[in-house]
Amino acid sequence: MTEIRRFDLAGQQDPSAIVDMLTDRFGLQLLGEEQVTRIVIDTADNRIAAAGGVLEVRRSADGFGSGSLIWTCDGTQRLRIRLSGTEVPTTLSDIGDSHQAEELIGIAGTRPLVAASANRSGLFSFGKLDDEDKTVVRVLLDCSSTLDGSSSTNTIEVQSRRGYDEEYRILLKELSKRLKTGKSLVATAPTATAPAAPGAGFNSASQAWREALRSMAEVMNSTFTGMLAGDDNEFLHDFRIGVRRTRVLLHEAEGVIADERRLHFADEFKWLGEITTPTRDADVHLDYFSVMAAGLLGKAEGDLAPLRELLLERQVACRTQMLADMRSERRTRFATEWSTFLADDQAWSLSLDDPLVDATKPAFTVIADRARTVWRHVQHDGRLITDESIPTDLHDLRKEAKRLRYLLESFAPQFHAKSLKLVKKSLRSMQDVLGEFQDAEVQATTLAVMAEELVARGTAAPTILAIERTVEHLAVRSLNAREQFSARFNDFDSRSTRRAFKRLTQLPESSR
Amino acid sequence: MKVLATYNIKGGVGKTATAVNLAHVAAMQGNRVLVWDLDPQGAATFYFRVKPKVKGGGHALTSGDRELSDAVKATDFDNLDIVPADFSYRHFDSFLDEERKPLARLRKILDSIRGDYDYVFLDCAPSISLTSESIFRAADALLVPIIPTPLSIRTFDQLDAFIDDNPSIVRKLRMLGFFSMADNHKRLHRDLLKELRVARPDLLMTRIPAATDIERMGVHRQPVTAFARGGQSARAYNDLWEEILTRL
Ligand SMILES: Nc1ncnc2c1ncn2[C@@H]1O[C@H](COP(=O)(O)OP(=O)(O)OP(=O)(O)O)[C@@H](O)[C@H]1O
Ligand SMILES: [Mg+2]
Repeated sequence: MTEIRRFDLAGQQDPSAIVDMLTDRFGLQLLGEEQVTRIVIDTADNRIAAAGGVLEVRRSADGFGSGSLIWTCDGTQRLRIRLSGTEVPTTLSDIGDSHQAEELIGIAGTRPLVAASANRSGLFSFGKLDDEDKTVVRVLLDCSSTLDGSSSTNTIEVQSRRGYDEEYRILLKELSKRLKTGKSLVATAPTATAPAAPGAGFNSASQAWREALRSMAEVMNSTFTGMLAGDDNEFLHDFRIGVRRTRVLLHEAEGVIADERRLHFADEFKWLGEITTPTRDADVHLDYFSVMAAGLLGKAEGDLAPLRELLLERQVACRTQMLADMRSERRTRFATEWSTFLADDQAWSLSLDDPLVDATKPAFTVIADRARTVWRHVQHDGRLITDESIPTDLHDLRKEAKRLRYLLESFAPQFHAKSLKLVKKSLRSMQDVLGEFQDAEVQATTLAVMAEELVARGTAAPTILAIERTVEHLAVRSLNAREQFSARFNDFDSRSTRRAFKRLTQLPESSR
Repeated sequence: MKVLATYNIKGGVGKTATAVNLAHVAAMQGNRVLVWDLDPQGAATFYFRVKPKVKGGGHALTSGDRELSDAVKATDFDNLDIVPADFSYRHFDSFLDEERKPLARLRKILDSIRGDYDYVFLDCAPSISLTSESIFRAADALLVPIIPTPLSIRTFDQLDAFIDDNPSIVRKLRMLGFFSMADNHKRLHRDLLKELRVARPDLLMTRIPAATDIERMGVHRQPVTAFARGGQSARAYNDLWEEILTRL
């Protein structure tokens, strides 16, 4: 009685993009979303499939709960029984005596059941709702992948609901049009009989993290030699960005990468950051020195020569130490360990009963969740900033904001491009003033320290005075930045940015 | 196919809540279930978010112009359908009266779907009329919610007596009374329940508590067994259904 039409969507479509399309273009409401592992069971001679149905054990992908035994046929879930244990049933002896149970027993009899296939699925159910919020057409998006992630399929199944044939035909027509002409969505002829092997082409969180970490590893590898050579500061700078992003990714990978490993790696990357910080700072001070010297308009430039020497001295000392650290056994051992980990399929393979609660979830769900948390931190900390706030508060906020940006950037392909752009723009504009403030503060502090050292070395007064003038100038810069902050933050915290962020990280209204 | 009618002469005792929730429970167990909302007010229809409209009205169904199965709408739940209410049902009595055998008419209409469903719930308006008598004939059991007050027990007994007195109308109809909206905080309810447990073994053991989540069905527009499936009320309806099955 239920009419069903299936569309197989080509290849690697991102489920969240399909969800967006179904909700935005076709006005469907997302009613439910489940991440599950599914084991299809049948008699050895596949009687259940032959009768046009699928019998499966479905468990939540997070591994909690014992799961359900579900028989689906003709678009209707005929039978759903909570399983008491974690065992996959081998006969139909415990399914009760309801009509559908007897029907199923009529098909399979008392024959032993065997696992026919297993996969991991993101199941999204949608409804075309009428003005009573009643589902008049059902749409299921099934994003399945094999357990090893080697292949995936996305299938849209449109089901008519009894008494609402008209609505079904209208939606089907719209969908067929779009799915045939759409760029990446390719409809294949609907298969009349055999229901799809259940499945979801989603990218698991584990896969997404691995990819993101890999691309950061590439950044670090490609800048490593240049960084050691030391003739261009930018190599070190880029290398450090790789380190920092990796740290953010590891920090946010709780539940995706086992803690034992994750925390160890996080420690090592923290250390990598630490051993490069002094050199980077020295580089920045020297860069700033040129700017500062230029600001002193030639005349006093010479006065700063002793400072420049001191900075250069520092830079050399820092670099020497850094190079030693980079060649240390700890660093080389860790480099090997890290690349081995990233390359090790075994380490990243997911099993049905993986204890990692988030690893098997769809990437988007986990990423969006993490991004929301960091967003809330930024928002919370930002709202607390007043004119009286101490520099550390602004510094902490800057770190949180960076965290958010790294997270969004690392997983950019997961997000809706336009909303991402909007959010990043606002975030960046706020970060710019925070960065300006931070730089000015740090430079001023450094210069003050250096001035004292130069005094101790008996450097002539003009140098000290030139430095002092620079420090004053820096104070103005930091004040300016501070004044701009609230406007920038308000933009970040504005309704439109918040809305863009919401769009970015949330599945549509109805899924909440 | 078993036909169960929620019925009480009294209004507002939980008839519709019973029909909707038990139907949902039965469907979840893998039975094919139909609810026919016979109350022109259409509360059951509302709970399932369906528009209270039958093409051609109730008359088309009673006259046979339209098959009952054509009026069926799927609810949002698997295995669970509804024939919605229609405002014209307020004239159901006169529709039936036009037919040759008015009292047998409803049963006849239901016969047309006999193979399609395992349980049919008829949700009735509170009254005694031609329609209700027709319902008594069509049903295998009356599910009668009783609020635990002496007066309500009396109306149940009146109904019981009416059915006993009319064996020609009603052949083998089971009367399944149970307590509805039982409030343990009310002394009267508590005492009466204790007393009746002993005095009236014909009543079902399970009682449906007075509960806010049942009241909230109108907000969710769903059975309580769907939106609060682990709750006390949902459990009560599950128990009630299990007990009813032993009595059918
Ligand atoms: N067990 C209960 N606890 C609390 N409220 C209830 C309970 N059962 C029903 N109600 C509420 O009481 C009101 C009447 O219930 P319901 O509509 O089920 O009764 P009814 O007998 O079908 O009424 P009517 O005679 O008008 O058709 C409704 O608002 C309902 O939400
Ligand atoms: Mg009612």
